[in-house]
Amino acid sequence: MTTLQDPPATEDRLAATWATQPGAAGWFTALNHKQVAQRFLVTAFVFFGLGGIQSVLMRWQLGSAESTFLDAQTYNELFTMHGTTMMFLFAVPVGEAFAMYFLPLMLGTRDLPFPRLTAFGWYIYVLGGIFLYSSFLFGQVPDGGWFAYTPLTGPEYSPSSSIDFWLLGVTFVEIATIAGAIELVVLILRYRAPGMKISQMPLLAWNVLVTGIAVIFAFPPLVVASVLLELDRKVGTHFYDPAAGGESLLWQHLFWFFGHPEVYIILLPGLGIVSTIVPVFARSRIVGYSLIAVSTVAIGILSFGVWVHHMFTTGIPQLGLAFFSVASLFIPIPSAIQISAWIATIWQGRAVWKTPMMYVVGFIVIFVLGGVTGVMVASVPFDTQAHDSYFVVAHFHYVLIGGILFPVLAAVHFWMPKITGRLLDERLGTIGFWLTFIGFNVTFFPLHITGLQGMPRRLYTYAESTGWELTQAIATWGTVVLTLGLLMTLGNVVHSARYGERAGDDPWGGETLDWYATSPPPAYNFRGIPEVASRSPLWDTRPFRPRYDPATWQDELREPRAPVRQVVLTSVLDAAPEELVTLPQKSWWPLVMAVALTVALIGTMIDVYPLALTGVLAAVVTGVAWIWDRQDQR
Amino acid sequence: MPAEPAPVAAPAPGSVLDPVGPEAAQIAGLTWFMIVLGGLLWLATVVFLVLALRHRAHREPRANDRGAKAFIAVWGVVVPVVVLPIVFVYSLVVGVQTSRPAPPGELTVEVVGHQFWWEVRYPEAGVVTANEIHVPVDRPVRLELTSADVIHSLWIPPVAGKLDLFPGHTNVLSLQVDEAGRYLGECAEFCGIQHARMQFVLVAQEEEEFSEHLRALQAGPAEPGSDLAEAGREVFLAAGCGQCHRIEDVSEGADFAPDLTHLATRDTIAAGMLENTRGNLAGWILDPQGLKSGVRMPPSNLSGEDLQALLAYLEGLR
Amino acid sequence: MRTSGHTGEAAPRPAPHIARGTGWWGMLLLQLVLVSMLAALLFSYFYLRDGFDTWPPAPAPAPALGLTAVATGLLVLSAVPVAAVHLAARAGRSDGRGPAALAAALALGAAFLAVQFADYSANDIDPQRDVYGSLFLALAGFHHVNAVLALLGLGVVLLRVRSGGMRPREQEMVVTAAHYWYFVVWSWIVVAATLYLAPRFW
Ligand code: HEA
Ligand code: HEA
Ligand code: HEC
Ligand code: CUA
Ligand SMILES: [Cu+2]
Repeated sequence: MTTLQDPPATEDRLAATWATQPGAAGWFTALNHKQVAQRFLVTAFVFFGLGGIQSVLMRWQLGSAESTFLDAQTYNELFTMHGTTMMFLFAVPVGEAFAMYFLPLMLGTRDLPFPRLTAFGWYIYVLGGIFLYSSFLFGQVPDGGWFAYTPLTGPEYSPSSSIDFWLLGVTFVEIATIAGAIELVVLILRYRAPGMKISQMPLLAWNVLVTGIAVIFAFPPLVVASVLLELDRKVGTHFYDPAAGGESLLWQHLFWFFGHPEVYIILLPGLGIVSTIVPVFARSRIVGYSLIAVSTVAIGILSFGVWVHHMFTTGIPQLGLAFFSVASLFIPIPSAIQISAWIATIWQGRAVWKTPMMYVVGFIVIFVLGGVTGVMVASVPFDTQAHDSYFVVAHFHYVLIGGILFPVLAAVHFWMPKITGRLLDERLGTIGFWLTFIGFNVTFFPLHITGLQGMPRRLYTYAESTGWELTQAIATWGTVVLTLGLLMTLGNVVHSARYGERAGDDPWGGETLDWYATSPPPAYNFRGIPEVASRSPLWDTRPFRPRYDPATWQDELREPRAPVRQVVLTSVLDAAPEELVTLPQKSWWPLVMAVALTVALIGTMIDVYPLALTGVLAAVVTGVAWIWDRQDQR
Repeated sequence: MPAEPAPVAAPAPGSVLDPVGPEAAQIAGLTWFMIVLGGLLWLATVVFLVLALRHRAHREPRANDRGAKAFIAVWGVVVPVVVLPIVFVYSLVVGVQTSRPAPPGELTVEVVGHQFWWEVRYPEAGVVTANEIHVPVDRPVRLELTSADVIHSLWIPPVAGKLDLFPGHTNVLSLQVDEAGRYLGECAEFCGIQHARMQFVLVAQEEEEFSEHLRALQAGPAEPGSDLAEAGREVFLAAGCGQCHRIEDVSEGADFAPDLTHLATRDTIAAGMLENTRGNLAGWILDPQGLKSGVRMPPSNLSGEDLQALLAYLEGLR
Repeated sequence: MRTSGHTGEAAPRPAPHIARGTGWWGMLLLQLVLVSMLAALLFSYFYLRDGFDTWPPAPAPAPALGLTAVATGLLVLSAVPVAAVHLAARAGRSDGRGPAALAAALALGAAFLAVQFADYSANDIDPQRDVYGSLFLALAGFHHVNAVLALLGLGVVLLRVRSGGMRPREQEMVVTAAHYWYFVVWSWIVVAATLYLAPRFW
């Protein structure tokens, strides 16, 4: 890995070019990937907090039989909002957010390929989330469950606006996710540092690449399904209406065709984070890099072939079910390969027992148990018993919390020093880890038993005679411990951001280029763009001889001829430098576009179609301005 | 000392692992198999992980990663490739056996899901009732499931796996109960505000008892046995109950409310929620929303006298 | 290796690069999103059609082909001028006929939409009557929304090319807009085959 010695003046020139304008105008027009990704991160965690608070209320209700803490309607609203928030507003965006912040650093570039799209994505994510949550103000909170089955959510059985809030809000957030996916895929294919072959890029990049492509294929069907349902509700079409030739099963097919890949879309960034952290703390290169990359791709592909395993009890013929059961039983193989590879890597090296590693180990313990129960529910006859019972609730919290929350917490402990420049407190971190780990298991392990005892999910109450009270009460106490653990982590983060020990650029002895930038990284990430010749650029001897003649482009990158933001575009497989491209520096259009679309959304919601039309027209005009106008190119 | 606990109307739900019928028994076997196998796999993985973490302290760096790669090959590929087909084949066998339709000519019961109660019909006997399914023991039964509104799912854990009730489709669930008794049936698909209170009782009886029960239901409604009950029938009609509830020869009803012709024979009212006692009945009629909010039955404003009469009438509906 | 960009001088760019810039990749991925939506709509169409014995269900008449054949012809034709501008842009040429060709494409595209709308009333499509009409609305509507957006894109490109000629940024815009338009053309062939031809065979 190499860079040339930089004359000091360069720094100022770069800094000036990449700086965000000060003041509110600067805030609203900012495009830099770290700035926007930081907003994504904070927003995602706020939504996690909201979803978590909802779950705590639910757990309080479930802690005793015949509890009157919540009424039926409120409970139904809470689990709907909890599931929706956690899946759409937390788990997917948080993975993308980490990728948006750290992948440009790890790949050795300066920004994402479509900076205005980055900003636009965040605006509609936030506005969509606010829109969804504004349903609380109107007392029309969505109450159809996170998969919103028709006909319950159709015009006849949900006449109020609650489901419109859900459909429109979630669609907005999906658009943000799709936008992020497009960015990340192009980033990974075209923005890698010169010399970083596709077979050398960090495993996180592989995971995010597959995630992005999966988003591109999985999310649009849900957008379509939601639009069709909204048409049924607003225009009086009949897609899901059995009385006029529609079919409620259509919704289930379209939803789960999205919904199953969705869970792997959530999982894969988590796996990527683990693959990043394990070698650093095992002090060993990852064993089986190619195997891990290939199994990531395999998970991505297989995830599109199993959606019917959520529909085993709908009365589809056994033969069809057997097909989807087989497909579901294949998925454990790539997962098992990755888990074995991490264990092998740890065994290969000398593990360092620090908080990021604790969360990784906690992840493996939890995720494998969740995977095993996943294999159980993939068995058709067992699933006829387990489906829609607390057994499934336990399964998916094991995989979701194992699969994303623990890796995300690992990432928080791992990367906060990079973001803030200060280390987290290791002692608080350790206590937080153990509380979270124990609290989690005490919460969700008993729920497997409750499920086998015959408790369906989504019950706001249950009779004392059912015998479910014991396990449910244990779960509630577990949640108390879990919440304490999470709050401790939150406190640690907030405290350390101000008062933590200075981290330096590379506190862990990192392997990837993100540790080569200063902490916190400057807006332009690197002065000179590094050139890479191995999978572990920071571990291999440097400097080594540059392969590409630096005279032409390194110089221009370090000292751009005009104050413009430039990055180097490289070829897909070998990352040979091909072109310098100029990125926009600031823009109002993302904000204006998001607001215009929100106006259209609100108009549709309240049936004031002139307003909706105004919004659409404004969006069109903004779109034209957007493609027309780039300050840096005028 | 507290008094004898009041008898609970609805039975406790049984466990999946405590089967009382051949379908559930097969699945329970499969479940135990997978719990043990999965538990061992999990345990082994955790042990490997701990071992890998353990001897980190004093060790030379390993010369090569052949051992590590072999581990991946065995634990990541060979073991799943051996284990998963076994799970699949066992599941397939159980799946085929538990989903075999009951032979034609066996007892057929039609179950129609409603928000939030179960309509039960015995087509051969021409009987319509609600929230209570009686079946003979030791004999396969066909349940033909459909829904009048949204999707529901019928689940009796110790007896068989669940199956959904879809508007516009009929799904057939075959089951058999080997032990006479009362079992709790539940709605397992979220179907609206009172999904939690949508239960029923499955009563498995000896053959003769069952036929007797069916014969009783086949007979028309009992005539009011007293003047009070006679008056109650008038209240029933005057208060508009008959616009929703059918009572044979008395009122037409509508198809979204339970048939009350033989209300008094049932152990529970309001879909397994309340014991069928006079007090509960009165409370229910006066304020169904207070007990089961969102239910599709309006409260009524009956005078004390009228209520007494109505109760007397309803209690006579055997 | 070459540089490009900010200053706007007409740096001649070799073909393979302009053809595969970030704009091209972004458009490719956007098209995959659209393909995925189209697939979901087609799945819905055939899935729901499966529930009927006769298709289209009475009282809708079997779709007549006349108008739509004309419309399809116009649309396919419109790809020709777009391709011409596309090739010129890829080669870095800015011949004076670019604006005229784009204008022709715009006119053809607009004519396509006009003829199609005439067809819907002639064919008695009613989305509220039954699911057949609903599906018609969904598939045709999906296509036409894209057609309108792509036409807007071509319009913007037309204005840019007229006022500024073929600088790198215009080149990239032409390539991107052209690919969007190709999608509009080929996806219409799929949609039209589904809506107008499939009922004759199944
Ligand atoms: C991150 C999220 C995530 C992940 C990773 C998974 C992973 C898996 N899931 Fe899960 N699943 C969900 C999230 C997830 N799931 C959610 C949210 C739902 C419910 C949605 C709802 O209804 O609300 C659900 C529901 C669900 C169902 C439907 C249940 C029902 O509703 O009735 C099924 C059925 O097949 C299933 C199967 C699987 C399988 C086979 C895996 C496999 O990928 C697991 C593979 C992993 C391993 C097996 C562990 C590693 C392996 C080893 C260490 C080797 C040794 C092990 C063996 C050989 C067995 N899942
Ligand atoms: C990633 C996804 C995710 C996550 C992380 C969680 C986390 C939790 N879930 Fe969630 N859950 C789902 C996804 C998730 N869940 C889904 C998809 C459903 C199905 C919904 C449906 O049926 O439609 C579901 C359903 C569900 C149910 C079943 C409801 C029912 O069927 O009736 C229950 C019940 O116990 C539950 C509990 C919990 C608990 C206790 C947590 C805990 O882990 C939460 C812990 C978090 C906190 C306690 C917050 C901590 C506070 C802070 C960090 C500070 C906050 C800061 C600010 C506000 C600034 N969940
Ligand atoms: C608008 C329709 C409507 C009217 C009017 C109505 N009911 Fe109901 N009733 C229902 C519905 C729907 C249920 C099922 C509720 C449930 O359990 O979810 C029900 C349930 C019942 C039950 C319990 C039945 C069972 O087997 O569980 C009784 C008893 C009953 N009603 C009595 C009455 C009486 C008496 C009146 C008149 C004072 C009356 N109802 C008026 C709709 C109605
Ligand atoms: Cu019926 Cu839930
Ligand atoms: Cu799934």
